[in-house]
Amino acid sequence: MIIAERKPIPEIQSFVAGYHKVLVVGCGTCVAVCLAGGSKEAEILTNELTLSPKTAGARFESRTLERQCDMEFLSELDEQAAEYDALLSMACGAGVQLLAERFSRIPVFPAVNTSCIGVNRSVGWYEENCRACGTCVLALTAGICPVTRCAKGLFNGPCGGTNITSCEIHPDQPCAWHMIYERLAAQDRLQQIMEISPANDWRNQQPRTIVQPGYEERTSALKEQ
Amino acid sequence: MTQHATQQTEFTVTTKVLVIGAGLSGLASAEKIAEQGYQVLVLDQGARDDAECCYDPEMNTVLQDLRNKAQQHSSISLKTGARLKQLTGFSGNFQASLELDTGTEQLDIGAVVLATGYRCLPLFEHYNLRPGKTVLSIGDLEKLLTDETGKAQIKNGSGASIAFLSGFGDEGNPVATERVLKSAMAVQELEQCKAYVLAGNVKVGADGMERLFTRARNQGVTCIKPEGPPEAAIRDGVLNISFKDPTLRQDVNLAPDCIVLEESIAPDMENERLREVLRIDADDQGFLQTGNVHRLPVGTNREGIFASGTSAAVKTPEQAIRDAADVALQVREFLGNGTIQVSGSKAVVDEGRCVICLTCYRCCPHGAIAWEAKKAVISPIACQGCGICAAECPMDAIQLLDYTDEAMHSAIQEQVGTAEQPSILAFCCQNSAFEAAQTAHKMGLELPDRLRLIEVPCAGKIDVEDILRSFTSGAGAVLVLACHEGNCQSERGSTYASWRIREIQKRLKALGFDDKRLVFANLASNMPREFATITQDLASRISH
Repeated sequence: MIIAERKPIPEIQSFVAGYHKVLVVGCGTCVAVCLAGGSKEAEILTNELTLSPKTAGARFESRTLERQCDMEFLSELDEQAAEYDALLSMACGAGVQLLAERFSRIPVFPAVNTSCIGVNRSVGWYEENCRACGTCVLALTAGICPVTRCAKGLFNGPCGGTNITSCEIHPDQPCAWHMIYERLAAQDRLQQIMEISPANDWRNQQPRTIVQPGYEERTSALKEQ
Repeated sequence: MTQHATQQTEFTVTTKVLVIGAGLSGLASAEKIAEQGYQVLVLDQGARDDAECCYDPEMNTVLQDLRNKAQQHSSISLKTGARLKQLTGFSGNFQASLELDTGTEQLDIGAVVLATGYRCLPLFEHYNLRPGKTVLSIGDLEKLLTDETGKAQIKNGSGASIAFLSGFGDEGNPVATERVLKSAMAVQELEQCKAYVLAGNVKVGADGMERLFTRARNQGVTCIKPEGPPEAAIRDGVLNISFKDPTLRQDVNLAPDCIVLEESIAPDMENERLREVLRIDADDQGFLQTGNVHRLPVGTNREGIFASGTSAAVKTPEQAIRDAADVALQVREFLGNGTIQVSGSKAVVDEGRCVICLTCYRCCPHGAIAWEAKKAVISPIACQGCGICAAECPMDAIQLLDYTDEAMHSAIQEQVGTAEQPSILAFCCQNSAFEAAQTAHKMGLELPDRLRLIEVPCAGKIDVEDILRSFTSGAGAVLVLACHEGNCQSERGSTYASWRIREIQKRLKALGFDDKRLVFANLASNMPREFATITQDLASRISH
């Protein structure tokens, strides 16, 4: 799931300074689950901005959509959006962009920083586990991502900097390759650590468009329309 | 805001009870519950009950007797080598997954009774002594005292002096004291034997303990409370204990023939796993009950799950057996005849808004929330109506029927609007601060004119939005008054409230808003004067 964090209020205020009527748009998916931008957070931000002397005089309202990364849900705002002179999106970067695309005449600002793809450890506690590298090696690494969790992002390891359980960069930084070693050994497939993963082609980080297998023709047909 | 509280709804529950642990309290509970007409399944999971009765040989007879009765009872089925693997569903209608020698078995049950045992851990290391013929643990001595051969060994021919050391490695409890005193008396009864008890503290806070202590001393047991921990050592094969005697006011050396060391009493090894499986709170030692004064003696944080005997705390065998009656009463109260009435004032989920983020599931202190068909589901039977889930839900998808967001908002508007000056809005937990406020009124204590109260079921129900909305609606100051930590009926409601308020104060500061206009305090219902002081202080502060 995508994890986001609310931006500091002064930064948000600097975006909306000078606008008179602003709609805070919550998103009811990832950012709601990670407690950064669901309807409660949207309501809280609205109240904070209303209270703040810096934004006194402006009017803030809130509305939460199912998902901001789907045009169909954004269309629910079509009529309402025109009433505002700025939109403050609490969605991840993807949602903010689609919202800005849908309502391109109105300034759209982000209210959260999109941090990572992570897991939920407990209420309000998340850990980054995936960096969307596009070349998943988890099959070879016992389900522990070396790109994300090795401080050096090494596809092959461990390196000479392992202090058994921790990394040379800091005693508090666990060595991901040590964890990989331990888990592979426990599963009796330690030989897999010897398999060399080729260097990732990081050129794949250019803006990616993903079309699932079997949907190529459908996508082309849609693009032609 | 109480229109739903009086409405009752009827629910059907399963009238089968699962008892975990086949020791004194487990078997005694099973018998009492079966007497009430319920089907009982007993698993002999956890420590074998010898632990409970090792220091009291009479208890072995009691245990055997209970076991025989259980085996003969038509409503009790006793499973050996079985353990609870998983518990799903809701209070009153749990689905238990049991691991048996023969495989797994699924079972519908209405209530669970925990009756695990405990472990006795000898503290040789603490005294820097190694176990041997002349250095025993209290458990070792108790075993010797059960037969003539053992007693002869203690006497060691012509008689012996035995020194008991207790309460220096472990704080101790009445059970530890009882074990020491009973054993010391048994030693003293042996011909030509002398018992010394060197204790940090003699814990007599249980039935009959003061009497036992007096009897022991009258019988000739010498009890000494040394100043500081005594030093025990073996020098040239001779035992020596040196300590400072506060009565003689001098250092004393004692050379007993045998030293008997205390044991610390630890929870059953199974407790930790059961705690996770059952999602119940344990105390800091790992016993399956927290010291919440709002609960009945055998209650846990989950409705329909009861902690009996030594699963809940260190108890004497008599106390452990006595819990059975309480358990049976509570089970009866809970399951009735299979249909129960539940108050309507509970939390409900708006399925359309729920994004199944699990926040409510993780926050609910009563284990009343699970998920079904991809939505959070709150059991009306298990829900205690504290509203913590409603305050935490990131999608405002949970409403507490008598305190909906809408009702809270209009209460805020109403209260803020009625004061002439900027009002002081106090959110008061109904279990403490609200009572304190009422008493302050009745006592005629001076309170600010512009003080307005909003009663909430628990401080944990107070939402960040409620506070911010109070300010945006024009409140001059907001007070959040919660029960004291550790005295919250909902276990963590006060804690959650204090965390939230600290976060809002930070946010208010960042906004350039005077964060001192938001005050959090812990109050008990018998603190009306403090209530008056807090509100007056705040009033004088914000008028400047």
